[in-house]
Amino acid sequence: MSDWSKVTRPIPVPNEWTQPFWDAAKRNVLELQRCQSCGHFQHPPYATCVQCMGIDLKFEPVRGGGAIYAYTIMYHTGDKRFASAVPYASIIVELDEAPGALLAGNLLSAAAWRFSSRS
Amino acid sequence: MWENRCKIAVSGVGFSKVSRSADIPLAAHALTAVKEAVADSGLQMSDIDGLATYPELPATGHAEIDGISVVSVNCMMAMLKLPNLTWHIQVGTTNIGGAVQQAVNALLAGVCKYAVVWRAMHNPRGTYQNLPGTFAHGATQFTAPYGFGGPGQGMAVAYTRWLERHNQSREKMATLAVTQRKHTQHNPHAYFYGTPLTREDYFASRMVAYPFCLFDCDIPVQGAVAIVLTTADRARDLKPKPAYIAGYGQRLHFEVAGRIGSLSSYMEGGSSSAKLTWERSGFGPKDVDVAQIYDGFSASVIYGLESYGFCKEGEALDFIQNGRIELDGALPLNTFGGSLGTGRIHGLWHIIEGALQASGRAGSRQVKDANVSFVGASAPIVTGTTFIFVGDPY
Repeated sequence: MSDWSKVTRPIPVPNEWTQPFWDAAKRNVLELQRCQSCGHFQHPPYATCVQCMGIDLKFEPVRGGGAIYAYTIMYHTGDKRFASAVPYASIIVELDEAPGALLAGNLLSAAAWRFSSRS
Repeated sequence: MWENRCKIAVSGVGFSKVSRSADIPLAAHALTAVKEAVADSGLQMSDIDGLATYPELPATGHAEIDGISVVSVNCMMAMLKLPNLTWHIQVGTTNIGGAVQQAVNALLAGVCKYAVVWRAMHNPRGTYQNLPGTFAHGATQFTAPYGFGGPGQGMAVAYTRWLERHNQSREKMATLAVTQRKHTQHNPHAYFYGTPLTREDYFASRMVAYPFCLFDCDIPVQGAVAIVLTTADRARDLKPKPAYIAGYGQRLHFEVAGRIGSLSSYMEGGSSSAKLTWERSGFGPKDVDVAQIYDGFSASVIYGLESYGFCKEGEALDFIQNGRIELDGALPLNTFGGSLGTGRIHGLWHIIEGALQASGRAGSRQVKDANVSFVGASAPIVTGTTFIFVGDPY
């Protein structure tokens, strides 16, 4: 298993679109940008709705459960800050409550895992 | 069909030496390639009146220094001091294929007569993706903290999704890597000329970003390639047999940056570009005699073959088996070795090979009776420029 204890992760720099995501994260809440016109969730946040071009976008809380949409296992120390964790799994997750929103993450540990066959 | 088909042709090609080290400045590589392309056409440098390129270094965290890590239009202008220059462009959103397309447009508009397009690629010191600093800005704020560094990982996750969705196995990609390396042995300019690759080598190689092993990734090199384009009538007065442009296309779909892993971006990018090229040329995938499909990472070829319409979605890894992509196969593919064979020079080398094959100038790797020559000059997700070259104008 990867040793994450020595990894220094790059620190995200919020901008005006993404600030609400990180503010919610500080409160331990997962909030995603949602178009108030068509209801589409999108992540990463953007200036307009990518589905209907609406500009009325608000962040709404969502539950964190979802499926692994895609993954890779890094064997190469491209980013030296992650050297101690190599090999590690970087994954993309699609949330059950917000289809279309894709979140990047790391699989820290798993007893077993199965890939989502949802298209 | 496009009323301007076969009115513009490639009349010459040129190459610099390709190496791992950056001993001589990139500008010198670019100059060598340009001079060779002009000489190959049978022209004088003073005949050149159009310049176009896409200069970016697609590696993170390295300074952009003109003449060293990139070769811009300004740099080339300063070097060549062309007495008759009337047109130039440096493209942004469309990669090097877009620079070629803009040169086609300029020639059709009559604002220049002989245009040269070059691509110069730098191999920086240290790691190619040199992720700097403590902070992740912009789109990377959601990916860099989880160890997503360069484009390799973005392509890797899409590839795992493709493999799982279509119940395929990455081992089949060995055929692509091995066959392209075989083609490379007919290409003296290529980095891996003289270095064979076996299936055993592929299976034994180290994993980089699963599912990509070392031989799924192109090797960063220092080098440059160039072409000369002109109008068909002028091309016919020159030495080499012209390669006429029968049609071209651009990606017409874009997904917001940071949304990595999505296969729709590849499929819609590639199909929208190829649709333009098929409609403009009047040809379809079944008419193609030889194809060059961008292969910076091996999986790009899958997305290309499927999104351009050569095979159905999910079928590409089976499609390339059983000799189909050999020089005497039903669809000879990346006949110059591809980026996997030549080193990372991006798509202009694919365009060059497409032109050489169409005009019968590919030497020992010439596909017999090749006329309809397809090129996908970049990964569909990136820019998706496509072309068809023919030897017989129509």
